[in-house]
Amino acid sequence: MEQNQSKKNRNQEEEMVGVDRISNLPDHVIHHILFFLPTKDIICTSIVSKRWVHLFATFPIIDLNEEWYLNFDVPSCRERFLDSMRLTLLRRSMMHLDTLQICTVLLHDNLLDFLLDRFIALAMRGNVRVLDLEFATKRHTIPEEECNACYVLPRIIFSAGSCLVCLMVEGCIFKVYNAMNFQSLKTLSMVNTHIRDEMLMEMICCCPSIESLTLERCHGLKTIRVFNGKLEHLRIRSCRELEAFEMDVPSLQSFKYKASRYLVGQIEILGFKTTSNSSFSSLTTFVLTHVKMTAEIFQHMISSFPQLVIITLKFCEIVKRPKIVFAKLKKFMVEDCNFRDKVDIMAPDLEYLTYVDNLRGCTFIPSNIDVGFRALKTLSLEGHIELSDESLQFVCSYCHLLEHLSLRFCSGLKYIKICNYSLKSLLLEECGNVEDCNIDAPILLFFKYVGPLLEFSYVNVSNVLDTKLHLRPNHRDNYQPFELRNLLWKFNQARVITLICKLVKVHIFT
Amino acid sequence: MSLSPSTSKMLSLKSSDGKVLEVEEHVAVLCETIKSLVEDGCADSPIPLANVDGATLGNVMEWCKKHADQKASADDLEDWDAEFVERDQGELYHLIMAANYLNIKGLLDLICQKVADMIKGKHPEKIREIFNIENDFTPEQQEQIRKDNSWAFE
Repeated sequence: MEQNQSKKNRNQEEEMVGVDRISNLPDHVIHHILFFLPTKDIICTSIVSKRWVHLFATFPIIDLNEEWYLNFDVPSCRERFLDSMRLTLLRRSMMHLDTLQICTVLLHDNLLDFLLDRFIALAMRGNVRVLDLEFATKRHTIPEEECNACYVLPRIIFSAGSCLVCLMVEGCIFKVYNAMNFQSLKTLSMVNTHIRDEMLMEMICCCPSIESLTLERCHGLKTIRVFNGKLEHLRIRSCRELEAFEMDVPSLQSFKYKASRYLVGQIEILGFKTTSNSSFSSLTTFVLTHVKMTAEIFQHMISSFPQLVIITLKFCEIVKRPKIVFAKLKKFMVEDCNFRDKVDIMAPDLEYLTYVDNLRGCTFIPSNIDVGFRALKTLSLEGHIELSDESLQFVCSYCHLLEHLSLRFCSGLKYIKICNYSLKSLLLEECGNVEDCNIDAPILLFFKYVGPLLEFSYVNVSNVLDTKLHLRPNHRDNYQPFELRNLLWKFNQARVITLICKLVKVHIFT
Repeated sequence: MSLSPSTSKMLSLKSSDGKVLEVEEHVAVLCETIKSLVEDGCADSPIPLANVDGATLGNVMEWCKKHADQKASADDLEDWDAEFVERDQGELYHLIMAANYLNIKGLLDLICQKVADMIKGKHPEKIREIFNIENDFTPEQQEQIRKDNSWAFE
């Protein structure tokens, strides 16, 4: 840059029309600008002048994607992709490469393998930090018998991987070698990869700094054994053969396990072992999806997570009546789970509960949610939950801190009586059998109702209430103006009323 | 104004064109370069900033002051930043150089993002036009590069 630029100098410069300032920026600053751009735009900049050809050559991210050529027919798609790889090898510097991303769509062949090996070898020698390799992603999973037809990750990744910080591989073969070294690796993601239990264990042993591990559609994996003091995030998805966990991960903060969507209820967790009481002493977030297990295993699991703050269960089946005790839980989300029976939940600090049930799986009775709900601030119930008028009334008067209440498709309700002095927002949507609504919530700020016209026998709300009334047509298919007038009269304290409905006769009233 | 700690002392910064700017220390230390001077105890006399002119220094400190204000919400800052980068290329150039020299990551990111937005979705000819970049290729060279990356120009 121009050192010691004087003001005079600058004014002169400003007067000049058409100064190319951007090309005068130092290389690393222009690279910083390019970081914010998608590859296509970066390539557009690479042909504006010779300076920018150089800037592109030294740009520390190489991103090659066969999908870009998919609008050509199959042979020329591959041909063009290989050409782009050859050109990149010619024109780009691999010496200070930070990230190498390669994504192929079509099946591998010898020519591709040869080029891939060269790329990876050069990148590893240039001490690349991030390696993201995705092969044949259009195919869902590689059947085991076809494993031989997949690209085998070259040995150099494993022997010279000490600078790698992030390794993500998809759709390739993983072999475990003797002298593996991943001392800097923090993120490891393996997708659609064949890996056996002992291989995974060895791999993790060679990653002393690992913080995040993702295993998705991995086959060959039956038991996940992780004994590691640094791991913070574990995410497992759709590993079909997986049935047990043996873990000691005291620094783990989030654990997300999703079984295969296509095998609902068939994937069953059969084992869950921990080595000590502190195996999960940092776990705060736990998410389970499409998992089946017995109440015993579930309880054993939960009791190993003393610091749990957030739990989400989606499409899970838990056989026999679980008794769940959470000392520190703040957020509990359940969606379409089959508990076969009542659930007993004890969570004295719980602030947020959403319960969605479209499967008719559960009865929601406050007696089995017990003492815990004194701290509850948000309650959202949806679906075929057998919530009776008395239960709702009980919850509303019992939860002194409740601020947000949402009831959707709760068909068990007939006479809604809500009496709560902390409630700020209320949503009532399509609770089909309701005949009367009685709301005593003096600080309510937001109210939304969706359904047919309803009798509101009593309404006491704040004078800054924002009301939305979305009236669906009734059996007569419309409403008389006087019916609406009576309804609006009930909400005369409100500051804003938004009314959506169909009228017999348009009649303006004030 | 800002929730400046009562102990916050003033630093004086001297620009390349000899202007001296008095800035609260907790604002000025958003510049990593100044922060390390302060930490090393070398910040007593006016700190000479040979690579930043007075007008740019004023703009940079305006940004630092806003971002040192702990009362400002994230949304508020975002709106403020969007307005801050509405400048001509000359000013953006001086700001980007100053952010680089003073090592202010937030400001450098902000302006680089702004410049990237000016490039995004544009054809090479348009990029040359916007930034006055001279095309120094022979027609043959240019055709060759274009052919090599043809997918990107459709």
